[in-house]
Amino acid sequence: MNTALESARQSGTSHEAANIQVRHRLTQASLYQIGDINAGQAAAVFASARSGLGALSHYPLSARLQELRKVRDLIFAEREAIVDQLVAETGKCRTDALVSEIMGVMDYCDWLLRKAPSILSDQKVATPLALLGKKSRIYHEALGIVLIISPWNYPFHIGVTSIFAALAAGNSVIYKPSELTPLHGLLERLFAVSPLLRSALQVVYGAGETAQQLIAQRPAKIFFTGSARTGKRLLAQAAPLLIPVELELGGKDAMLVFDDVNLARTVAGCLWGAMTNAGQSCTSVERVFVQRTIYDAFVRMLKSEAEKLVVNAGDAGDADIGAITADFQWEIIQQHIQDAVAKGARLVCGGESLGDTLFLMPTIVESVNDTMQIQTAETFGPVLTLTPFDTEEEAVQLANQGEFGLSASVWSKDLARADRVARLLEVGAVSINNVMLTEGNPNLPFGGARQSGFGRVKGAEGLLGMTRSKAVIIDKQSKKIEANWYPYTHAKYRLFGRFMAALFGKGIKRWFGFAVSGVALENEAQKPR
Amino acid sequence: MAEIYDYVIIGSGPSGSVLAHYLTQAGARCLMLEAGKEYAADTFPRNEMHANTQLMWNGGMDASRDASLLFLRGKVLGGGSIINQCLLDRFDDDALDDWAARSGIHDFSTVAMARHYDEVESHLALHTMTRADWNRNAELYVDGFERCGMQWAPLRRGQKDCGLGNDCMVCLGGCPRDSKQSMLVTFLRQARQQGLRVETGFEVGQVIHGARHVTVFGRQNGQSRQVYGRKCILAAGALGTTQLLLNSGLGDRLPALGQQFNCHPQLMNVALFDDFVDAHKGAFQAVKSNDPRFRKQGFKLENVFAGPIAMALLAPGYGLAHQRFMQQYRHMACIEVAVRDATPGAIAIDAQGRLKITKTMHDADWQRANAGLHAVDAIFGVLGAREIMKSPIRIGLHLMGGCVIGDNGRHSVVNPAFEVHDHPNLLIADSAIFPSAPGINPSLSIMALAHRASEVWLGSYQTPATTAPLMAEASL
Repeated sequence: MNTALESARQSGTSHEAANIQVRHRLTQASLYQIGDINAGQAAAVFASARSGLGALSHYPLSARLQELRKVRDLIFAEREAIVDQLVAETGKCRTDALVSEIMGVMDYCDWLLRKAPSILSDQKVATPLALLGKKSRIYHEALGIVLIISPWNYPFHIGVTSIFAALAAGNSVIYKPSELTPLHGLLERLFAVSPLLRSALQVVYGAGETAQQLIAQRPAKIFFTGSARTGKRLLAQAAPLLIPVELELGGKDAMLVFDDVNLARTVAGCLWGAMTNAGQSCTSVERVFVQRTIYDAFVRMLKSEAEKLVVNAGDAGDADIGAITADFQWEIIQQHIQDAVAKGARLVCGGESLGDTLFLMPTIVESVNDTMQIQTAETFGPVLTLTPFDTEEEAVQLANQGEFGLSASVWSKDLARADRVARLLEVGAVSINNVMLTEGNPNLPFGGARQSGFGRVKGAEGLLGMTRSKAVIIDKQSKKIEANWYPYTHAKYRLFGRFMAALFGKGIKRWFGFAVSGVALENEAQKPR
Repeated sequence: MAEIYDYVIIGSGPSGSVLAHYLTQAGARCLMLEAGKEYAADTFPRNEMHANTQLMWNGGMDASRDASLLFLRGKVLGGGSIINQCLLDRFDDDALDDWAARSGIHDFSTVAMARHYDEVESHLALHTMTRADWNRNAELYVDGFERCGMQWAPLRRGQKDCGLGNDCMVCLGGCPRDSKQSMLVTFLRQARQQGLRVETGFEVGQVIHGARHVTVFGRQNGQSRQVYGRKCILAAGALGTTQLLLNSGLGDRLPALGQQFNCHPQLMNVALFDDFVDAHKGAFQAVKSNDPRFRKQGFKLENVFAGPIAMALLAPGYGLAHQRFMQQYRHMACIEVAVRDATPGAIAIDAQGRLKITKTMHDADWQRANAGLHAVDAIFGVLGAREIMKSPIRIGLHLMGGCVIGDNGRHSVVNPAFEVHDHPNLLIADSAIFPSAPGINPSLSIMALAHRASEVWLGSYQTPATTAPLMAEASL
């Protein structure tokens, strides 16, 4: 179990202090304290992981999945208690916690249980004619010890789906949750239902210092979800150590609305896409581009609907917009709004906090331009900007501005147009006539373009990202000497020429030449120089 | 910064207004929401019909599901205090002892409540009606009582400079001379001077409870509106407060929500005399029954009367017969039986969120009503009435319960600190918390409870010195 850290702490190698206070986000009541670990403790964590290394990969995939099912079932049974802890540490509303965090995890886990056998099992691949008689295989092997660093916006979903994928693939996992939302003890408790999986998972609490100490221990791969700023720092530390990194970073996602849409549905989708999780989603809608012919009607309805949203975390699932989870993010959001207003933007609604609480009123801003942070930097709050456009080309050009490229949505009755636009958007995912939906299908890969990161999680691609593919080719045992082995002779050289002409040339007769030169080469190969 | 109030108060009747006064006095920032409109002395509707349609929910026609009882409740700034007679009596031991037994709250006693009654009474002009205030209807009432050997007492009313002989009956549609001590001229006026903000025409649909604040969702002038309070006080009366909690989806978490709905069913009895009575003139009510036998039997006899529209309702029929009846308006005397009901009903909502009120008078209630009707018969009999007419309709006044107070979450909705169980930011101190029907006009007690609740919430409440338990022990 996860005793390495505790014993390291007790043995006196520790000089860390539990200096990070975790509070109930809504009541500000003190919940518990965590502290950064030092180099010695990080080494102990890895030593413990290495000592059990391979334990999980020695079990067949079916056994690993069977164990995962136990954890899945426990999550389902404990969902309300998990929601309680999520709401306490994030301040998000209950429905966001239940649907996005728990249902998302359940969905992904069931997909994993169904699809992992075909994706992770040994893969047979074709062998070219020139290598006649051999068999080719790909083994998807565990990477070893992977380090997963998760963010504070979806602390359960992002953490658990990554851990599930890593464990299914047979890895040992060192997991560092955000110091803002550590969910202390939760994963340890849930995974304890499977001692096998529990022994392959170590949860390490701490902030940036802890992440650095863990990276210095050279995990086989790092999976990071968070801001571009932190992602770059992490990559810089990993580069000289040659540790591969997957980065899921921020976005400034665009929603493109053409004038042939059902207004009510599109407005509803827009509000949810922008405000869900209080806008603290990397793929939340931040920039909305609306065709000028329906712009005014769209803004009117959007404002009217936004004002109906219930700003509260709620304790019965009947509130819409929860609290802002991170203090520094609160500052960024306020700064973006102030900057925009100072530069001439107009507040359609919101733009203010709810009293002195950590809730922000749903905010809609128009008359924005690219000199404003609100249009170029990730705001990560219940905030959206509105910009009218005239043509399809203009819409694409506007959406592709900026440095990010995570996801986008295109709304139009004309599916041919929507498809045309989707292909031109420089992003990792596009929802057509819907919003933030690609991440709802576990079959689809998730990941960004440009400054939104690289690598993919979810889907077959994401699961394979948790593995190292091992290429295997199998030949029979015989006395035969291969034609391309030594000795190189004039005769062989001539025969290779004819063989290649047959293999890569044109015309039906070459297949006769292929057979003749092939046999001749094989015979020639058995002769000594 | 979007406004977040210390208290959002839903409802402006005796509970909401008294709370608003004490809370704003302590410096709290309060917003009061009222579904009805604001009227003043010179703008109140001038006839019974418009008073019903403009000042009451559903035109004064909320009915029980079997339509056996009609409920009247105010939808106007000032709430029930605008449409009542402002009879201000304290509850007696009989009423409060029953509450203490049902709720487990020992402070429900005349001793412990006295301080709260004293305090709210100090803000009200109270007038005990004298013989000079009597009209012929009152004289007949007293005459009948004395001849039958029944005990009566003068009424105590909240009024100030009512003018010569209390000469109007339109009190029930809003006092046109700012004499009746409604909330508009008392606590609400003070609260506004202390900074209370009031919004009218705001119909609340839902309250959303959170760890640190409550979102109040509703409609005002056809627009969706939301307001926010750290605490939300539901003071919309038994029906309004209960309906709001039900529509907020709290029924699952509060098993007692909607239960123990009580009212005082009223049966109006008219007697015809040869001489003019002119009961519509002078003081509308001046005396009351004060007979311990009545109290024991569970009814009161009210010295009242009604305007021509209400009187016309009491005589079913058409044409000449009805015309003849109404021609005798000046010859009518009236005594009403007010039942202290024994069988609680229940408040629920339908799929559209509309009220479904189950409230039937059962045997126990009819025994009480019939005892009262016998007494009325006896009184009108000795007075030589030409004809006695029993009420064909029953009006449920003094709507109570649905969110009763108690220390047990299974049988009550509100805890002894006036917080909804497990929802510390939802507060209730109005008549919805009444554990049973007191058989006494509740207005003054609603105010006293509001004062007590304000002390609890402001942290200034101190359990009264152990007088009550000591006395209880002494009596053993």
